[in-house]
Amino acid sequence: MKLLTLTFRYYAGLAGLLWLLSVPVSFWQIRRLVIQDVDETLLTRKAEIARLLATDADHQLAGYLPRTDPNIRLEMMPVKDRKIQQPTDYQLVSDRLYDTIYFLPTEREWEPHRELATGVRAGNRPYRLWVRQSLVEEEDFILTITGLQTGVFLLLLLGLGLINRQLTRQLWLPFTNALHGIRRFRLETDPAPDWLPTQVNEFRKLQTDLTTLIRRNQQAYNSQKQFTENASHELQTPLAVIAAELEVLSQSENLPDADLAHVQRATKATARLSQINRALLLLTQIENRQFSNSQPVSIGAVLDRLLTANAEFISHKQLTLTHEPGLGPTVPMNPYLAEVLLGNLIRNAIRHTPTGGSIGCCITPESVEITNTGERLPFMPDTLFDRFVKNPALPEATGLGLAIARQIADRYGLSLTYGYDADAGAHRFRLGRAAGQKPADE
Amino acid sequence: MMGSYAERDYEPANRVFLKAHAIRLSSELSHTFTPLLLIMNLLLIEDESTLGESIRAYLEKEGYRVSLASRFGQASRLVNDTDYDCFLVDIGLPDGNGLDLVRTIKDQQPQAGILVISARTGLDDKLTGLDLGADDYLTKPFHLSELNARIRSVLRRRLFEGERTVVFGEITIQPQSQTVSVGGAVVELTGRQYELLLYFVANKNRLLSKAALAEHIWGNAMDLADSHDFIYQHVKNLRKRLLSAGCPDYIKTRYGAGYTFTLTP
Repeated sequence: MKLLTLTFRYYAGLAGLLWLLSVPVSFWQIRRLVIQDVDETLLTRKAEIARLLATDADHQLAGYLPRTDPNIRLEMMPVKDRKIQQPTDYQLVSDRLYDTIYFLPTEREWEPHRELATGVRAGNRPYRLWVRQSLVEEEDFILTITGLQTGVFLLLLLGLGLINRQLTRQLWLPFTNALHGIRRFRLETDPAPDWLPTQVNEFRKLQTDLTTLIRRNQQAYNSQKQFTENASHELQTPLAVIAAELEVLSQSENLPDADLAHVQRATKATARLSQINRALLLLTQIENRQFSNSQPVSIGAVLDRLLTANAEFISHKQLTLTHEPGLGPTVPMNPYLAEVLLGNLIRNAIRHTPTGGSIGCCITPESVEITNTGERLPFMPDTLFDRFVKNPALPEATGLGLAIARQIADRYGLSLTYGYDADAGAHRFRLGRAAGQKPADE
Repeated sequence: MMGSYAERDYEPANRVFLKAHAIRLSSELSHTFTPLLLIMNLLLIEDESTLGESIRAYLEKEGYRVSLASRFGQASRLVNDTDYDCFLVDIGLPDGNGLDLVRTIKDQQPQAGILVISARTGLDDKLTGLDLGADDYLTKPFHLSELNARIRSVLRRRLFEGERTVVFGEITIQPQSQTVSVGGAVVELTGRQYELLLYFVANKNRLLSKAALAEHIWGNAMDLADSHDFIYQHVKNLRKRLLSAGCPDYIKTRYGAGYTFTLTP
């Protein structure tokens, strides 16, 4: 989930909670104030009525008032309550305020009312008095206020969302830009990326830390690269000296045949040493990802070319080649490494097929398969791609060809597998896209 | 020293004339009666002095005049002061990048051939070297016979624009049309046989190992393990072709060691 979405969810959650809490609280608060107001009005009315009735000795007004105002009800108190006829006892019945409902004929509905039940005197007679007021308008008022409040909350939420979407997108731009920069960054080729200028301290810190990290990696990478190059240089040069000296020696005109044989054996060993050195260097370079430039390579086309280039060797060993040209998978990779990979597989097949045997290449849009007839491997098949694993019958092989092939395949996320088909008596190498995996790079 | 008579006989001032003369003579040049008139000046830039000396000894036997520079500064002085026909540049110098030297040579002596030698197998160096105008590129370690053949090919391209006819005994080779004739009659050779023959002629009187032959023709594409029998077949076929065209057998086998291409029986 995006960080922005997540923070927005928290904001929205908080706003929702506040809304849930504040709406009932403010509803009851406003209602309390309204009721208070209504109560005061009712008490004022009662005081007015009491003042009017105080002089109403003939009870004319007491009969008239309820008829003009439906909100007023007056009832003469029964005579048995004589004790309240004391002249000093002004308050006959204590005030009682309460909620109730009445049927309003105009609205044809039962509506909430506030009512004051109390007692008054008309002349000398005690009366019970009920004054009430409809709460319909007050309810409307409360609902409007609450609605407004809800609206404000919704607007706030909307604003937060917009800020998240637009403004923060702007604010986070240096961060997303840095992520993008890291994702595209290739240690082998790129200089440290340029970051977007930003006012945010955290982002600036991130950028400087990333730059430091990249610088350090570049240094490590360069020194490692330098080391392998130097190591190779250091080894190749003495090897070149030995080879040159041996060659000069072998040109010597009065060298006996027996000595020449010694020189030849030394020359051969030197050549092999240099070949192993080159292969190891190549392995290191692939491991160090020093072959960075890549372009779409059609595996089938490379295979085609290599088979043509190796045709002499194939016919020299009288091998039958079954091959249907095809494009095969197209893989973004270094073209040189593609040649090395397929070349090693083909040469491996040619070398290990007995004279008169056969080699087959099968190309599908997803893979290429190279098969060659031959005896079962004299060692464990799962060590086949290990370094220096070789057929004891061919001690002069370096035992690195397939290791290099596997290394290149791994480098580009390709699968290189081996199987022995006992029925056909054939070794089978399959090179294809690894299942469910896109090419590792680019 | 084998090549030393040349150093005595010819001063550099004569070389321009000699070059022209040699070109005019080249079509009638025949190894049987004319010694190599033309002395080529090479500058070998190599920091490993042992290797430098071996290369110098070998190339001087081939009749080249070889100067050796082991440091960048010394080499760039020589590039500025002296004319050479071909430069052999090891690009891994302790006090400078050989590729800079290639640049200077291209600038100062554009007519000269440049052969880059490197201990690095990295493709970048090779491509940069060739981009800068080097004619060829050789990776250490190499066979001296291979170096010799490459120098010859560079010089032939540079100085004679590939037009020079190569004559060896009864054999005449026209490098431009890649035709070979024996006693005036064209001999049909396969591409590989032609390459082998050219290599033999370039390294005449030299013992050539099968490994060197294999590497020259197939490069590193071929492993040592299975090269020898293969080379044997190719040499056998070439010899058969030449013999049936009426050519004396110039290919001498030295058992277990390789072949020598020579006029002396």
